[in-house]
Amino acid sequence: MDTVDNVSEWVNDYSDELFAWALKRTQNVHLSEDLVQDTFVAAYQSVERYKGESSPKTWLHSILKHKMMDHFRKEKVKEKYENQSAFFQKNESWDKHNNPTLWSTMDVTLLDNPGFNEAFASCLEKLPQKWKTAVVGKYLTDKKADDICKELSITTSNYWQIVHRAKLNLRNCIELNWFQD
Amino acid sequence: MLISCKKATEFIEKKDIFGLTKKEQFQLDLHVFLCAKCRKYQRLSEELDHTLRHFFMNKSDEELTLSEEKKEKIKDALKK
Ligand SMILES: [Zn+2]
Repeated sequence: MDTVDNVSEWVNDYSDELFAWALKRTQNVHLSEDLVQDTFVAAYQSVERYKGESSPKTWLHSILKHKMMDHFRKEKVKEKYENQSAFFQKNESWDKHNNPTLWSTMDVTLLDNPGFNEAFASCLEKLPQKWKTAVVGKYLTDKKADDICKELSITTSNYWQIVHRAKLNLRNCIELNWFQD
Repeated sequence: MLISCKKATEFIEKKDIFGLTKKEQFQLDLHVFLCAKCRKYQRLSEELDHTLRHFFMNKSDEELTLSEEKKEKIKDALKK
C-alpha cells in the first residue's frame, strides 16, 4: 500500500471527528473544512516523520491543533473591532448613545423565540473569527482559560479583553437588530 | 484610585475569567458603587453570559459530519 492510499484511509477513518473538533471550536463549516484538508495534506507531506509512536488519530489531532493556531496567529482583526470608541467616550466613560440597558433575557421566553435566536446567531456570525472562537471556548466547552489561550495563540489578558469586546459588540448588534424593530 | 467605566467593565470580565487582585476588586467595587451605568452593565453582562450559554447549549447537540464530496476532494488534494 502506498502513502496516498494510507493517508486516504485515514481520511475515511478520522476526517469526521477532526471536522467535528474544529467545527465545535470555530462554529464555521468552511473554515473547519479547510483546516481538516490542510491537516491531511500536511500529514501526507510529512508522513515519513510519523513513526507510529502515537496513534494516527493523536498525530492528526496535533497537526490540526497547530493548523488552527497558525490560522488565528495570522488572523487580522479589523480596526473597527479593536477600536472601542463606539462604546466609550475619550475619557473612557460611557458614550451617551450606548448606555447599558437590560434585556431581561433571564426570562427564558426570549431565548425560545426563534427570531431572537436568529438575530443572536447572525450577530455572533459578524464577530471576527478569533473572537467567536474565544466566546465559544468560554461558553460551550468547559475548557480552562489557559487551554483556550493556547489554542488561539493569545495571552491571558488578550483573552478577557477579547471576551469583553465581543460582548460589547454583541450587545450593540442585538439591540440594533432585535430590540429596536 | 478611581478607574474609568471602560476599565471597570474590563475588570468585570477579567474577574469572571481569572479573578482580580485585591486592589482591582476594591477599585471595581468602588466604581460600581458610584456608577449606575456600570452597575447596569454588570447585570447586562450576566444576562449576556446566560444567553450565550443557553444559545450554545442548544447548538451542542447538532452532530455534523464532513460530506463525502469533501472527503473525496481531500483525497484528490493528496495526489497533487
Ligand atoms: Zn462606570
